[in-house]
Amino acid sequence: MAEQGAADPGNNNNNKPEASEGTIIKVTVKTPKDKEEIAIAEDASVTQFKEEISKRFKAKQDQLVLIFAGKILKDGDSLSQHGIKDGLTVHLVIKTAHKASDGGSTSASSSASTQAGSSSTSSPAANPASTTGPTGSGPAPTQAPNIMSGFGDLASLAGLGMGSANFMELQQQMQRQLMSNPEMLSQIMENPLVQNMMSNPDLMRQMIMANPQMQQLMERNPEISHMLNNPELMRQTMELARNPAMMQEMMRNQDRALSNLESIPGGYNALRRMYTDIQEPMFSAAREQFGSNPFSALGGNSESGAQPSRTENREPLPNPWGPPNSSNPSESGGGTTGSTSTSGTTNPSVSNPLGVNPGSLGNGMFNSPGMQSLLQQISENPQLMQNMLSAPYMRSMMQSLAQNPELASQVMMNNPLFAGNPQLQEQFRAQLPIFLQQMQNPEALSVMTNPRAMQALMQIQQGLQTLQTEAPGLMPSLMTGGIPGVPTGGAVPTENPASSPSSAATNPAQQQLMQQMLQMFAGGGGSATSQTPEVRFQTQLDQLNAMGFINREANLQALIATGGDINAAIERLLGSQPS
Amino acid sequence: MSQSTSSFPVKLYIYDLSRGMARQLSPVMLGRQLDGIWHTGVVVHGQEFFFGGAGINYCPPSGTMLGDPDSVVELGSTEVNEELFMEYLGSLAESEYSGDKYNVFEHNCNTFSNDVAQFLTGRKIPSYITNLPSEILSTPFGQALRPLLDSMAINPGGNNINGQR
Repeated sequence: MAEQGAADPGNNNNNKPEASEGTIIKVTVKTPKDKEEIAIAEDASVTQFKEEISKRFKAKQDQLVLIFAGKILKDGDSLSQHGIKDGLTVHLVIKTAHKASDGGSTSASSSASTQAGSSSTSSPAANPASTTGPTGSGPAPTQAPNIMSGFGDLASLAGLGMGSANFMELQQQMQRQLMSNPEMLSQIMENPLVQNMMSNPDLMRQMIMANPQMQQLMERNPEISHMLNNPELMRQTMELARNPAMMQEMMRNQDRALSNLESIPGGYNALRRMYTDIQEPMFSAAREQFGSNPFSALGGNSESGAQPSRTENREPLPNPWGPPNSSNPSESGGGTTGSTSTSGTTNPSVSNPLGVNPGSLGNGMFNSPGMQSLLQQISENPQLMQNMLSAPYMRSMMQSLAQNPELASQVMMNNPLFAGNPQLQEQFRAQLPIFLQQMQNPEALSVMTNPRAMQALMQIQQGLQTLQTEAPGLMPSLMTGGIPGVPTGGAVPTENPASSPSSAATNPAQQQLMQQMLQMFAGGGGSATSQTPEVRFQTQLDQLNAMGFINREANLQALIATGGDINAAIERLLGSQPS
Repeated sequence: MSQSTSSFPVKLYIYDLSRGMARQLSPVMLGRQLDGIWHTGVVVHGQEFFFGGAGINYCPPSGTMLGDPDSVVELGSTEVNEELFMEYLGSLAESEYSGDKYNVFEHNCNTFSNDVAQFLTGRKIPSYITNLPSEILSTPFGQALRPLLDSMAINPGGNNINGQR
């Protein structure tokens, strides 16, 4: 017989197809586990096919289920019926459990097997699996010290323009830029990512603790670690950081509380102790960390915290020649600083962990060693000055200062140069916007960066000053016009109308201020060693004070003029116009 | 001749893992247009089956966290009943499609869907899906990202099928 009947259901004989007429085709039989090529006659039946397969796969025919094109091949069918041709693939499932039913399932069995199949599924919940990580942690900054480094969408580093290849510096700069722009800060705070991060006290704590100085600090002062570990406190602080008004409020309360505290017997000592225990190490922590960066050194003086984003920083940047500001070398950018002053008594309290005292921001700025080192650096490196001034954040800082004279004036008030001289403060405050404007004048800036120019200016300054003391009545108006205009080197005439109302009394102090600044920038002329005259003549000043010359400004000026010679200064003071 | 074989519809659920971003960003990033990053699952017998980093999984259709598919392709129908199918999958899970065999480029969910579709219906899934890895790898970007992507596995969840031998 040439052909085995296609419709031969019961044919279970083991006759191999003679294949004399049917061509042999090679069919690939594929199981989940492997694949075999089986040669079979084209016209073979499924049964025969299965025979071959059972031999090859070492399984019983009963166990074999063949599927092709979605159809289960039944024993009675033929291969050609299903269209199985040479080179095609047939799927095979080798049943383990042995079921009586052939592959063809009735609906009954299918429902039975449905149960079997879905028994283990108790409605497989769509398990949100590992692909989405925890969003709470956000882009946890890899560099612990700087929270802002984690935020890629923040101010582009490229815009900082400091020209510094040092990434750390860049970070700090970015921080400062942030600080300098209150809107930006609040924008950042609005950013849900930031909020998310900040609302995670663990994360904040982690970041803070990552700073080695902080760690040291914490070791020495367990209270600090308590503070950090108190989530309520952290949250509160973060709230503060976000809300400047609230911040101010808190400060005021703080100040009041402190003054109360002072009046308690023994209270002052407690405060002092607190201060020395906590503030100092924080200062030095802040300072050490940023020693190479002039701003931070500057800020380090009037800063108390290296990190914790507690209380908000009010001043964007230290402006060495302008109103003393405190910078913000803090790690966590959300808010920062504590500022304390050497003479202030802002101490950490429960509500104000870092003892922020905006009123004393920048106090003693000129006296600090930080300032001095800053000045030294500046004088040694005119390029630095250039960079400093050209940095965009500088501009924005100045702008913000200009827009917020109240803030600046508040800062100025605490400047020891002006201490005790409310008139001067008024004066300066009035002039502040203009002053700031001047600072923004690029020409002015370029003058500032030129040490020789600065030196020349300083000489002029000194000359004018001498002139003023020698012959005060000679050209008051000239000087008032000239003084503020001098350091800017730019729009001198514009200064005149603004400053002419200023009385002669304020001139010496102003001049002095300017002069000091110029001195610093020029790297000092003769004796100036980047120490302010005030510092240098401290003893003399004290002596003069003791003698009854209470006008500090005049004393200082006289001392400067005489180069520290007390007697000559006294003569000057006695002979000059009272200022 | 038992003709009472029932026939079960087989569908292919196609998801775009990038949620449309690939369509927009691919010309820029890859240099060629990719309409999506495709993930597929085969829906048959009332369940959706797919292959991920954890092995073969199944869940109710559209039950993964990916939600509803972006498109559905009818693959035809199959006679393979559920029991047989599960057995088939079990063998697959033991051999070719155990969890550790997952490779996002070479042996991924789409590979699985393709094999299963062929098993069930004899038809393959649309080629644009199976061609995706090679398309990506043919771009410099893809090549660059390869080490990273290799370590990734896509795991939309679901119940696992282990070899039940």
